[in-house]
Amino acid sequence: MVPCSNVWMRFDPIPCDSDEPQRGLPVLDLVGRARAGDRDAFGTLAAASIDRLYALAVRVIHDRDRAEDAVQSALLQAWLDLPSLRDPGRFDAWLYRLVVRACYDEARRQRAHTANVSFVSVEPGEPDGSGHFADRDQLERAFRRLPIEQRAVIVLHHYEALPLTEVAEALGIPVGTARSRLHYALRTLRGAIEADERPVVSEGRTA
Amino acid sequence: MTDDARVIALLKDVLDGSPTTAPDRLLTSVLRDLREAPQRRRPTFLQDWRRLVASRSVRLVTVGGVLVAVIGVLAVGQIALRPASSGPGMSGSPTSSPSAAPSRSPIPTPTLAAKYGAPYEPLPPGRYIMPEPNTDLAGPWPVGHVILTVPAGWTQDSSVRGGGIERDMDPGAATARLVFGRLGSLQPKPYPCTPPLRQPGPSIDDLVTSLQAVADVHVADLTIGAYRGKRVEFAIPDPSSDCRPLHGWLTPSGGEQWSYSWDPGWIHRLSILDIDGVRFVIDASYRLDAPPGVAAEVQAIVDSIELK
Repeated sequence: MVPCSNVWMRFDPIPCDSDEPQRGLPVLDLVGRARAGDRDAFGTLAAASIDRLYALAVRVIHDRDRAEDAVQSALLQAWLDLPSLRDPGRFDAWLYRLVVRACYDEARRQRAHTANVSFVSVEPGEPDGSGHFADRDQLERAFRRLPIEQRAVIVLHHYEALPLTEVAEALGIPVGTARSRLHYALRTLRGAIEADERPVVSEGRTA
Repeated sequence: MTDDARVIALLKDVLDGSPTTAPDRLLTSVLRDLREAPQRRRPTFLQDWRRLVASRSVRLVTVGGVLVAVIGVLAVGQIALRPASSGPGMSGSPTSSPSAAPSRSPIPTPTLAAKYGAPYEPLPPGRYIMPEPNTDLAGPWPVGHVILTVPAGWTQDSSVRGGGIERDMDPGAATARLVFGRLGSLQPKPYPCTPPLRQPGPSIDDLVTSLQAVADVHVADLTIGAYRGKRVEFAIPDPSSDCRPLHGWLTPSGGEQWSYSWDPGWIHRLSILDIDGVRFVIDASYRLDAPPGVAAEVQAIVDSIELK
């Protein structure tokens, strides 16, 4: 049951007293209680958002184990620092930011461990005639090669469907920076597909 | 040439292909961490300070205070310290705060630090400036400062968008509340079981007319400082049907819509002011079963409000 109260709440078509507990006003109530030290309230918030945060992390970091670590670390950080969150209405954006930062940290650790042993191919894939699937495969590989900061913008904007203003807020960057990262990321992805579509004129390594 | 639409379609395909559900062990681990970790709490004065330095006027007061203090120290080195003849005499300023200038500060200000950032902490009685909300509540905040006198027993409520205070500490059991905000459009269906509402025009009179269509309201003219408007009072009785609560208005903020709703069992006194074409609302409310004196207390707070 979703209680209603005479306070601001994020507008949502879910009516009050429905059985969907994690949208609208209860989030603010729960955040308020969790800020005051209520572990159960924070546990409820964590349970409600953990799938969404994991989905974000696994797309940004491309490694399920590290995504789990990032989400666990971010939620612990959220609990520890929740009393310093000024505006409970920004709880979601704040969580996104913590998760993305945790992903950055995980990625840095990953680079430190693998920089000398992994080698990522930059050769365009051979056309296999399977059209969409070849493009998808090509795009997926290009996406994985994007800088993690660009992947974060892409995932928040195109997967979480956040407008760029909220992407910027979630990442703690200016809107112009978010827009620019999105622009360069899409240009890189488009270039990857176009490179794949161009007829092969030589067998040299592409730049 | 590959167009962006195709790239984005492929991208969504890729993104949708990754897992969307966290393994159960992840939540288990998080809850285990939670049991063992105490929250980090800053000392209250640090929270106050962080709030204070966010306000330009308070920064000016602080700088002024520091200058006065420095001058005072220099003066003490040269002449004997004389007792102060008089202070500015700010009535109702019961506490000191990190920003409180020395009592001989030449900068006149009724500022007292609101304890924002310390949710649900009682406010010492006194006169407070309500800081500009740190949310983008339907555009720029229409007033520079809301200054009000808070009696004993009230708590700042930073969970309220636009700012607010509550009587009694437990946020779940408040007996009275003051909330400030901008009014966007009315909810199209104020009660879940009523027909859709006709949107009012831009004026306060239009708004009052629409409110009268959904609630039994008492209306009076109102002036606070240089601003005029209407005081609208109504009660939301305890419902016996599903027809609750009364949804108030929607206000866009940061790309989202925020809804303001009223619970049953409360009496509301809305002070709706026209501030340069913006409908600014002070919702002073108290429970129908609030102890005697609460209604007068709420009204006294409203009467103490200055908008600068």
